[in-house]
Formats: sequence, structure tokens, C-alpha cells
Amino acid sequence: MADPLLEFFTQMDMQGSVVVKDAPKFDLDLYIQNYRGRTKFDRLLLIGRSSVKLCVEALKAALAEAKRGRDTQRYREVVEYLRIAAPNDPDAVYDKKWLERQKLANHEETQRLLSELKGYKNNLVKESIRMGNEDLAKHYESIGDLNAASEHYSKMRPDVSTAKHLIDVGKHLVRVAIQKREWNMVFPHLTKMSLGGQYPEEERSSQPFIRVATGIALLGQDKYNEAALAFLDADPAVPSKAYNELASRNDIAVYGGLLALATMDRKELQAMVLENQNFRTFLEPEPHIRRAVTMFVNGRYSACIEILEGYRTDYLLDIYLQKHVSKIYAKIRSKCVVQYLIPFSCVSLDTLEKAFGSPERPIEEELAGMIEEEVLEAKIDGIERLVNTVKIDPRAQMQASALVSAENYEKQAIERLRRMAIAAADLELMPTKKQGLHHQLGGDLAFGDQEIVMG
Amino acid sequence: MEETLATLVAFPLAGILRDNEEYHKAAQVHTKTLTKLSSDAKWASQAPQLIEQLDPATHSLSYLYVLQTLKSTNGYPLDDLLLKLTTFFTSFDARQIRYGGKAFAKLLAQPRLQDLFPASIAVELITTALLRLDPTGSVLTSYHTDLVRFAYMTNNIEPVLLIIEKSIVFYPGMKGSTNTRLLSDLELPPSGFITVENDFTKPLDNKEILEHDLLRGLCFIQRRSWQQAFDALERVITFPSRDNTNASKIMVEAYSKWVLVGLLLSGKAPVLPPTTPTGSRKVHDIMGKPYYSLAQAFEKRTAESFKAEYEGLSQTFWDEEKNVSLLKLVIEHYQKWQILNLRHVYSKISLEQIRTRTQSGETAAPLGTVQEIETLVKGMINEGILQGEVVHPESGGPAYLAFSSGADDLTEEEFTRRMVATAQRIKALGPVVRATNERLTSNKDYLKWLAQQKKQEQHGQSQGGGAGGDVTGFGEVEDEDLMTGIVAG
Repeated sequence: MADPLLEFFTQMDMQGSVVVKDAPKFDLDLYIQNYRGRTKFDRLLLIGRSSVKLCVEALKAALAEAKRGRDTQRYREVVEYLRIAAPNDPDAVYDKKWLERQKLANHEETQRLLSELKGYKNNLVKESIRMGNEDLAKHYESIGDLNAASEHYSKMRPDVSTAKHLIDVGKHLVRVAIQKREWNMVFPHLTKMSLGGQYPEEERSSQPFIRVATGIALLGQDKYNEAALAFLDADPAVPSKAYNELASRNDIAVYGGLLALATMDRKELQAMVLENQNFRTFLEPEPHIRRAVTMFVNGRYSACIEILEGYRTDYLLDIYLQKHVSKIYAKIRSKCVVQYLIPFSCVSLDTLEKAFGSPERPIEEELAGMIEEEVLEAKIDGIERLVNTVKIDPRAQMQASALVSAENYEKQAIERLRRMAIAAADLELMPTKKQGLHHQLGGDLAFGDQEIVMG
Repeated sequence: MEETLATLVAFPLAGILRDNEEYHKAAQVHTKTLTKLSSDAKWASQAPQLIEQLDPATHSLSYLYVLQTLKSTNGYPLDDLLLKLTTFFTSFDARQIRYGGKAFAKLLAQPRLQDLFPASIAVELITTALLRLDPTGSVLTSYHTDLVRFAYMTNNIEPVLLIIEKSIVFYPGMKGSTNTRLLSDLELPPSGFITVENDFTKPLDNKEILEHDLLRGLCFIQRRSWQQAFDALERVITFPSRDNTNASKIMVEAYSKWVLVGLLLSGKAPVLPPTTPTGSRKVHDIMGKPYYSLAQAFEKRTAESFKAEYEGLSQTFWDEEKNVSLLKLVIEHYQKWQILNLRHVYSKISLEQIRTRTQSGETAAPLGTVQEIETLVKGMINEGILQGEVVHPESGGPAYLAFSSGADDLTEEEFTRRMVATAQRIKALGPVVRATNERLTSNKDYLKWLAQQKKQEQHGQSQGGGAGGDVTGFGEVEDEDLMTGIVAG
């Protein structure tokens, strides 16, 4: 069994997907129970493609999930993977009968819903048209035709009559946009979901969905800080059923916690994560995130990194986090180093090596990189092996900036006067009849490349 | 003869000419007399005696005419002539000479001083003369271009520095410079009397202006004054243009040098200033591409791509471009900048570490020995590029480079000195601003603009005051309007 797996992951590696060798800490069955809808399959497939340890198990679960649904394309895809990863598995064969039957059923259902919708349209009953569109769009979504789905979900909008309808349209469209990974399309749909405080009940129940969708879309666009704020703001009182087509409660804790760690300073973390009553509820099932944040706030940076490293595998298997894990971790790490150095004027490289060092990359290089990128204000003493933090002298800074602005002012003043004079003397370059490099150098003048002497 | 002499010394009569108007009238009369006298047949023969009786500092105008006659007639001993020319140009009274533009021009140009004196003295003399006439050095004349070209070609840059270090802000032929003020007015800005009408300059075209700044740039390059060279070249590449006109060949040439000088100056690829006209920007982007990619490669951590960039361009390219020695300097400076950049990261670093972390721009490989690095670093310290010292520890450990801490910080005195200097330079712009303001307010487009502004105010769309048309308010919207008004005019 080892060989086909090896081959499978070599292929995955070549396709550029992430391959995770270590076993994650979560239990696959329990994990996937947290979700509802199409995201279940997506998540299982991602784990199947990425995790060496869970590969077959996840793919088989995905296969079962696909077979429970109506999306034949998904079924083909997962069987294709399974045939490479575990060719001897009894599931790794096409169930042609099921495929044919399902295809036919899908087709018939589409036709039925289309003709129904036509009938509703003829009767001009708004509510029926809306429902007809919704049924059709849901059907399209379930068979994997996302474009048609979002088209028909949009067509529901003219016929909405209650606040709940409006929220539903928004939810459908956002869900489809996230499945298509069209992050910028998520925001317009979300804005249309806001009701302006007229229907507090509906707004309250859709709040976490909107926050989570905003967060996921911002995360997809690398806007970590804004994403963190979105997750931190989610309302825990609403049951997870309202948003678990996108993410689970645990996910909110993990996304929010990690992104906050990557972008906020200690004070903000204390106030917005640890003392945030709402978010604490989310953190309960993920105590290690709370521990990591607490460690960071208490200045125990290496412990914080250690905890996070322990869960790196888990996060690499998350559908939205996977791409960002290394970036987020690098940010947290460099923040830890920066924070670690703050109380000291001087730290020996060896101490730092002990606290943060990794066998792959000596801490000195990492520090040099951070200083160059201006993440860290420090100087390395390569001889005594020390890191001296640079104390910013506000006076010197002010003086330097005063000089710069004074000099700029002078330069600009001269430049403006000169330009006015040129304009007044009609000396600007003018278009000649034949556009081109119209001025040749004077014949008597050859700008030689004289040897440059020392001045 | 006695009579002539009496006429010659009659102007300016000390103590009588109290105000500008009297002075102006007297000077005009005197100039007429001088023109009449100089066309007299006896004049030329009397000139050698007359000149001995005149003082160039007090009777500058008369002296000028007599000297001009001597210069244009044969027979006066050359040595004496040169001596007289030198005393005149170093001591004349600028106020009087404002009335003698024609004669002054002849004295400078027919025959050219460059042909009479040895090059270095000619350059110095013309520089002195032009600066005596206009101590602010703010008006460009046709002599400037000639002078700078001559100085650069004959490699006499030192004596011309005084004049090329000044910022030119006025050009001959500006509309509205016909002055309401008298030539004798000591407050009169230089742009008021150094005009084509007064014969102090020939009309200039933009090619000459570009050439002048390019030549200034070349002079500064020769002196290795990178900042000044960079600024001069920047003037060329950002030269204003109308209707998206393409850049000229001179600008293209300046761009390539500007990029290279920018690398030497700051170790980074320079960014085109926002004032660059769109037309020129496009040309720079296309024509200057090889240079720009070279500059970008310069910023990379390893020398390989930098080497590949400059080697990728054929020998003929460099032969045509005539930037070979500048390029050589850039290549040489590659490693120096790498070492310099280490100062942001390290306070002390062993020479061996420097060796492994930096590469030579020439070979794209680290230098062979620590010795070579030491020579390079010591060279940089001696040149003043690098503040620090090479330390050989007594305990026998490896040698290291210690960057001076706080080298970038200014002492309190240094800061005050520089701040005061800048403030004074800005203050010195006062008259220039006033002159520009005066010129603009006397322009008919200004009235048009003012009327427009009034109208807008009436419509309640005032853009905030501005009726004063004060040019000192840089960066305000009104000024931009003011400029477009002129362009349209």
C-alpha cells in the first residue's frame, strides 16, 4: 500500500499542492461532523490530497459524501484520486450504474424545475417565482453547476418580500462565491445583506454568518488584520447551524486567534482576544489557541511558538488556512522576536538561538533579514555575538525630518519657479511636425566619456 | 582729448545722482554720448591714452566703451589688453554696465575671451564677470552655455563651479518681463535687465537649456559630486513639455547618466520624479530600459543578475552610449554598497563574514581573501563613504569592521548650521519669488484668471481665498491654475 501512496503524493507535490507528512491531532470523523453542506466534501478532499496519514480514510469519506449527494463530477474526481492512492480498495472503482442513474435523475430534475419555474412566471405570483428560482438554484448548486446556481440565486432578489428572504439570498450568493473562491464577489453580496437596524432579530441571527464570510474573504485576500477583526466580532449565541456551511465554531476560534496573533500587539491581544467575552466562548473548544495568546501576552514567546508549531499540521489541513499558514506563522514568529527584544538593550545571539533557533536557519540570518525588512530595529554585533536594540531618538528623528522637509521645500520652490519661467518664456518642448527624437546633439559638441578623475 | 576725457568721467558724478530716476536719465544720456564718441574717427587713436585716465571701478561704463574699441582695433599691445580686460572684469560696477549690454557682449565675444586667454583663466574670468553682473546667478544667458561647455571640454571645472552651483530660475524671453522699473533700480531682479533686448544674452531655445544642465551634470560627475550631478541631470529629464511631446535625445542621454549616478549616490534605482512629463516618461521607459533593468539588478542581494545585465548588453551598445567609465564606477561600487548596507544590520562584523556575504560586481563572486576585503573597506573609509574602522583585536581574534555608531545622527551644532543654511537659502529666494510674482501679476492672463476666480466666488465655489495670487503659497491649487493659465496663453 505504501507504493501507490508514495506515487500519489509525488503527483500531488508536482501539482504544487501542500503535502503534510505528520498526523494531525484531530479525529477525522469528529472534525467533519462540525460541517454541513458542500464544504464537507471540499474539506475531506483537501485532507485526502494533503495528509499522508489520513489520505485513504479521507478520500473514502469524501467518496461516501459524494455518493450521498448528486454531484457526479465530484464523484469522478474522488474516485480518480482513490484509484491512484489505493488501487486495491473496493471503493476505487466507478459505480457506473449509480453514475448513469444519477445523471439521468439530475437531468430530469433540472427539466422539472425549469418547467415549474416557467409555470410560476406565467402565473405572476411573486412568492412562487422566488421559490421556483431558489429550488432551481439549490438544485444547480447540489449538482455542482455553480455559475448557474449563482445566476438563479441572483434572480430571487427582485421577488423578495421579507427581511429573511433578503438574508437568504445573500447567504446563498456568498456561499457560492466562497466555493468559487471569488473573494471580491463576497463583499457586494454581504453589503446587500445589511438591513440597517430595522429587523434586529434577523440581523442578530445572520451576524456570525456575515462576520465569518467577511473574515474568510479577507483572509483570502491576505488582509490579515481586518480578517482577524471580523472573526473576533462573531456572536457566539447564535447556533453554529447558521454558518457551518462555511466554518465551524472551532474554525472561528482558530482563524481569529491566529490572525490576531499575527497582526496585533500585546495590548490589543489582551483587550480584543482574551478579554473579549464573545470570543472566549469560541475559544473554549480550542484551549491551545487561548494558551498561545496568553503566552504571547505574558511574554513567553518561545512557549507560544512551541504550541503553535504543535498544531501546524492541523492548520495545514484546513481549507482556508492552508495557503496562509507559513505566512501567518512567519509573522507571529518575527513578532515574537521583536517583542522578546523590546525590554532589553542587548541580548546575546546564543540566548536568542536557544529561544527561537531552528536547525534549518541560524537565528543570525533571520535577524539580519528582519532588520533589512525594517521589521526589527536592532544592530547585530557579529564579534561579541550580541543583538543591540536601537533606541529611537525622537529628537534626532525630528531633526532629520525637519532638515529633509526644509530641503525639500527649497528644492520644490526652485523647481516651481523654474517651471513657471520656462512656461513664460515658451521654452517647453513642443511637438514638432515629425514626432520623434527631434533634437539631435549639436554637431560641434561631442559629449565624450572622459576619464573621471578624482575631485 | 581733454574734452573727451572730461565727458567720459562726467558719469557717474558722485553725490548728485540721488535717486534712480536721475541716475537712469544720466546713464541713458551718457550711453548715447559714448556711442556717438566711439563712432568718431579720432576715438580709436585716443583710446590708449584715455584708458589710462579712467578707473574701471568708478567709470565702468566709459571704461567699457574705450576697452571695447581697443579690443576691436589692431595695434594695441596684447599684454596690455589682457591686463586691462582682467582688471575690468574683476572690478566693474554692475549698475553702470546694465546700460552697456551691447558693448559688454562684444567685449566677451568678439573675439571670444576663450581665444585670447589660456583656458583656465578665460573660464575664471567669464565666471567672475557673469557673477559680478548677476550675483544671484539666477538668469541663464547664452554665455552660460558656452562657458560650461568650454570648461567641460578643456577640463577646467574648478573655476566654473561658482556659477554652475547656482540654481537657474529665469530664462531670457519670459513674457511680462518688460519692466516697469528702471534699469538703475538696485532692487531690480536680474531677470529685469539680463534680457535679449538689453543685449546681455542671445535668445535661447530649449535645446540649449537642456544642454546646459546636461553639461553641468557632466561637470559634477567629473568632480564626483554625485548629489549635484544627480540634481542637474534630473532637471534635464523632467524638463517640462507641452502636449505630450517626446523627450529629446539630450534627455535620453541624461536619463542613462541619471540612473547610473543615482546608483552611485544612493545604491538604489532612482525613481522618476512626479514632475516628469508623460511624454518624456514614456521615452525614458523605453529608451532607458537597459539602464533601468541594470539599476534594478543592482539592488539585488547577489551580483549574478547585475553582472548578467551589464554583460548582456553588447560592446557596441556601450561604445555608442559613452558611459563606459561611469559604468565601471558603478560596477566597482556594487560591492561597496553591499558593504555599506550592512551598517543597517551590523554594528560589528568580521571581515570574513563580509567576504562571504558580499560579492564583487565584476566577477559576481566573493573576493578571494580577507586581505582584499580589508583593502576595499579601508579604501571606503578613506574616501569618506564609510564611517567606521577596521579593528585587529590584540587577543589575536579575527579582524573585524566596526561601524561608527550614530554616524547618521547630527550634532546639535551641525543641525543648527544646516538648518540655518537652508533657511537662508530659502530666504534668498524671496526676491526671486517677488520678481516672479510681479511678472505674473502684470500678465494679462492673470487678469483673466482673477476674473474667473471672482466668478467662482460669486457662485459660492470659492477654492479658499487666493485672490491675492500670492506665489509664495506653493502647493496650493491656485498656483497650478496660475501655471496652466500661462501655458494656455
